[in-house]
Amino acid sequence: MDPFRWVAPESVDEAYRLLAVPGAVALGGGTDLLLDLESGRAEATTLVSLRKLPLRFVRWEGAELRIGATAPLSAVESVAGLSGRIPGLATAVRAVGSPALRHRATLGGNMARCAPTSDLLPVLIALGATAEIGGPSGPRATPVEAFAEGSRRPRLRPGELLISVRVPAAPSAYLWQRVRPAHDISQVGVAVARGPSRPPWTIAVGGVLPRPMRLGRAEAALRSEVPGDAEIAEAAEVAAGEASFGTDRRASEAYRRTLLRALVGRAVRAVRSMEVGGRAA
Amino acid sequence: MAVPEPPRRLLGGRIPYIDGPLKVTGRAEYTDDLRRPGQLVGRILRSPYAHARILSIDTAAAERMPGVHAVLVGSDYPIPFGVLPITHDETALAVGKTRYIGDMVAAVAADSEGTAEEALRAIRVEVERLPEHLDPDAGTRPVAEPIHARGLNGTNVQKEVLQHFGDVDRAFREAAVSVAVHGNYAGVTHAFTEPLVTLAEATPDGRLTVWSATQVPHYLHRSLSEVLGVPMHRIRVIKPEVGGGFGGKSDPLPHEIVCAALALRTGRAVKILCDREDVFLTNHGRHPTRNEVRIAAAADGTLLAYDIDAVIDGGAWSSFGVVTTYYNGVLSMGPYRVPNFRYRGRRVYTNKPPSGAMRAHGGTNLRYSIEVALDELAERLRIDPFDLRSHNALPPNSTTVNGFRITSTSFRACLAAARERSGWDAKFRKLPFGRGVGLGCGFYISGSNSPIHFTPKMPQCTVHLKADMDGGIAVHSMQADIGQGSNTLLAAIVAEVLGVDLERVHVVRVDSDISPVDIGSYSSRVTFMMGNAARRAAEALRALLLRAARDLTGYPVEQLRMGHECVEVAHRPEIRVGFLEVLHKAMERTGALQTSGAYTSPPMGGTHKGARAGTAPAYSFAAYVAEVEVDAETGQYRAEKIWAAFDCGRALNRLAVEGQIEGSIHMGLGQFVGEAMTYRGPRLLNPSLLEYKIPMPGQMPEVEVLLVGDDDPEGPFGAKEAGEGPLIATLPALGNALYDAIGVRFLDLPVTPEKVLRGLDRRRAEGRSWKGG
Amino acid sequence: MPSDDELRPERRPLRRLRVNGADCPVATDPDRTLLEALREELGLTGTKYGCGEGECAACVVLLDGIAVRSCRTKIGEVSGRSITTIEGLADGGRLHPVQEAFLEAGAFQCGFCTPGMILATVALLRRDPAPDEEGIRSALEGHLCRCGGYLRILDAVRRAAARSAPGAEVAP
Repeated sequence: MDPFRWVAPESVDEAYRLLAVPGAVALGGGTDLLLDLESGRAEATTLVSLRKLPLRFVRWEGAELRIGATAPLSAVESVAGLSGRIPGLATAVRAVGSPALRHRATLGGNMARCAPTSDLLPVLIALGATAEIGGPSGPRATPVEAFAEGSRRPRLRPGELLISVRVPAAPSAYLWQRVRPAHDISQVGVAVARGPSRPPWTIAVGGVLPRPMRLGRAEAALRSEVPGDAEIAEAAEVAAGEASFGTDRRASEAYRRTLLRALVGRAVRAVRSMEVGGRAA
Repeated sequence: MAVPEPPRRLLGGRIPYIDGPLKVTGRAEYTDDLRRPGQLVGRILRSPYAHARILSIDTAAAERMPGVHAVLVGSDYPIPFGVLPITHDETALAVGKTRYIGDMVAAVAADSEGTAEEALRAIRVEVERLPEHLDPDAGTRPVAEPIHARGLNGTNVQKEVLQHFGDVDRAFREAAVSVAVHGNYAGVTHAFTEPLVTLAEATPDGRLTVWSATQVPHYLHRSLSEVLGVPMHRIRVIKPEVGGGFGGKSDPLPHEIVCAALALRTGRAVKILCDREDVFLTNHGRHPTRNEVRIAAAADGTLLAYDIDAVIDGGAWSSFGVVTTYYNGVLSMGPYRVPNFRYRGRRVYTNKPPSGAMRAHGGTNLRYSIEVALDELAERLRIDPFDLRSHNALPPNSTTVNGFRITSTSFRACLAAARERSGWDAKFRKLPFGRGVGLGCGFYISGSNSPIHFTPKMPQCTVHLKADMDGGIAVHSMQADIGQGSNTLLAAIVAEVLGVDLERVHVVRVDSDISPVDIGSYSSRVTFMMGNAARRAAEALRALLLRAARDLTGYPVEQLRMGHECVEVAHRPEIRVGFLEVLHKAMERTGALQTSGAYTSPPMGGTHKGARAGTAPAYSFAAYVAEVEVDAETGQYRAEKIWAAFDCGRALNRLAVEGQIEGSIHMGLGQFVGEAMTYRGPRLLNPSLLEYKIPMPGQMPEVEVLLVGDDDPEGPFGAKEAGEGPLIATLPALGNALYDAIGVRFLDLPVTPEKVLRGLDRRRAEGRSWKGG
Repeated sequence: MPSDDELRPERRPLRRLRVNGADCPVATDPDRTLLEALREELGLTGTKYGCGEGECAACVVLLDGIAVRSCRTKIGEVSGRSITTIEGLADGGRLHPVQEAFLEAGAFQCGFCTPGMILATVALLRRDPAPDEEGIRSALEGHLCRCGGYLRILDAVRRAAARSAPGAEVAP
């Protein structure tokens, strides 16, 4: 790794200024980015460490969980009430790496890496989470679904920084499969959510190309608020046909498709059995 | 009349590891923890080409760099070496050709890592690419440019073995039933947690000291001497704590020699620490293997013949390959009686990282194919798999058709214990679809009878004891504790024989200046051979002490024995003399007491070519039952429990034996469920601990260890090995359990969930139903 | 206020680390890893280099009481914060209860992963003095033990947890 400049701004405005310089890259927990820099897969002339910014918060704001970009995943994992109010997010956070890694890895870092195999993006997309972005030309908000352009490419303009994410509480589930249950990269991840303010069902998947995404046709196949098993099976079949996969050293395209079919069915059935707004389903 | 032995105080119990307090406090010293004054950083340039002729290497720019102290290339130390004396085909750095991606080409010693890396980048290597040879099956044909000139008849075959005992063809003709399986095994690697690392220092007195993460200090010592041209007595090899080996630190490795060469060249200390990718590329792991196993049996299940064919992917070097090639056939000769046996094995060079010896070397892949074939045979004959195996078990004190001498075996007791404890009869073919039990068995050598560097008439190992004024007993031995707990056993044997507390005995770190030669930790030889040598050394010391006690008590030696920290009169134990008093009496006139014990295995084996391969003074035996649960929708499965019945003779330290069995199961599980060296062409795709999938804590099944061995007649206090044999049975137990669960045979390892689903699809396409699923 | 240091890293400033309760100045680039500083500058070699890629956890130390991989942690991120290594656990000659539990269970073979395992256990019990089985297993996920000692390591963690649980006599 070539020596690079290392700066730790104390305010977001200072961070915007530093990040506007070509070659500057924001550094969260560094669990992934630093590996890329060392191996030459990524380049940076200046690392802008976000550790002094006041973005480590995780708090409930009404029916939403608001997570600061530099909150370590372990802080998200341990926020009170998470597994009851947003079960899908609770599972997805615990799916990332291992406990020691989650103490360093940040939510913003995971999102900004935009990995197709991210365990967090599918669930954030399915829940309709909003990314709050700051920058030299003022704050803006965008659905997380539109945040990831492709691997390692967040939709951020020069000088912009992900500030926080708002995640609406909703019955939800995240299911994944890997060679090793822990400390591994998911072959396929499936997030399913439903809630009063959403179309009855949303389905988002990871492990697909080119980035985690919604499966609109499969969602449409779930017409009922409480679908029966046949309807779920049909939606799972649609999902398997809708997603585009690749073959790599972790799994073949055909296997990913089979997995997706199985996991979509299971995830929908899991969410079906959860209560919405006090109604037993 | 023999003096009654006092009850054993240590051996047979659970003896805490003597190095425990150092290990839990971070104070155990591994090679990378050591540092010498003025120490330089050594770095190695590795080849990006799988097969290329080296036309020139220009090191001038690197040598001119400030802070660079030495640059080496292959021609500086061209003398070939290798772990086996008959196949020296490695060099410290590539000479003339590079043979795999990762082959070492040049090396530098510099003030800092940064300078060393920069110097490597400044080395210009001009090459001519050569055709790459990657497929071991194709390697049996002559090619224009074989990987090594020593390949058989212009091919890439490094070693071919043909053996035939009895009349196999006739046995198959006359058999009531025969089965054939074709196994395919991906290469796996040791992945010890401590990376490869060596520190070497040349000093002005003309000596060279080498500290290295090695499990065979003596072979390293020899190789250093041969390649560097320095007599062995001017080289001192020290083995600090070693963070796991599993066979991967048993070859003398090129970076060790390069490190020492850099120290010689600079007259200073140099350390080479391999990063994780380097460790993967250095490899010497388990050979990728394809085999075919045919088994003929009579209608009552009596085994009539094995016909075995194996093609073994050796990678770029010979390493242990000759042994591997034999083992992949002859290690079929237990634990069952097989009257006719034919084997054809070829080990083929390929342009990939070299394969070598890994825990349960040569026995693992072969055994999997055999045990799956036996499971199939049992099914066709409608015989319970336990009954089939028990019916064919080798009896104690027998000889196999190829001449292995079997002394103790408790294999039938292993079968009985595993069957009962696992609840087999209530489960086999009776559990619901998706859940199953399987039986896998095995046996393994308890120390190779044939030391690799054989010096006629010299023992395979020697242990020295020294007892002095301080009352401590220092134990010197070149066996290598690599985490398995052999230092603890060494101390415990000495303490047991002498009746003293364990804390009185200290095992001195392996140091060739003071440790008598022992050929190291491989072939599961340490407990058996070192144990016997240690026992003899301690008995010699005991004899000196008893003589002194005679002078002190007036009782004849025949009536004296060691009590706890004393010598006592056997029939009147209240008459006793304290250990220190006896020791000091014994030291009158001679000073410090020194005794020695040695072990040499007895003559054994037939007279045919390769007859010594696989001969051992004793064998361990195993019968494992695995229970698995399969998710038939995703193919994911889990090993729920393994009942591990094992015959290691008498378990001298149950804590260590159980640890070896649990660890072996973990490693066997890894090879079965997901570990694989994965290649695209010649390039290793997964040289990292993220992409090379060692099982995590959550994947470990529950393990119930059942130790059922009788005392071995020649083992120390009746003991046999427990370090490698326990791995072998793990894999077929899992494979046969998957079959019981879902009705699919898996012969392509590792068995990923994806393969499970494909297998289910295949079975359903064939229209075969299984337990309703 | 170390911010001046951090804005001019090219000067190889002295950074102050608080390691095992002592102030330890290290002269280093902020992008060097904590692992390198501990092993090479401070001679604390109980923290192990196993892979350098955050995959084995042999290098785990406690950062303000939380288990982190020191090979993935840059000096620039930790100056002024409190670091505990395996050398800092024992109280004088008395082993930490987690170390005692590992000894009792025989929860190591080669010992190379042991410091990281012990520190992860200390962090777990600090966070949750009475962890359930899932909590224990998940705290050790990502820690590689190639000697395959997981069953005993889990046993050691359970022993330590039994002592740290509310009402138990010894607290870690």
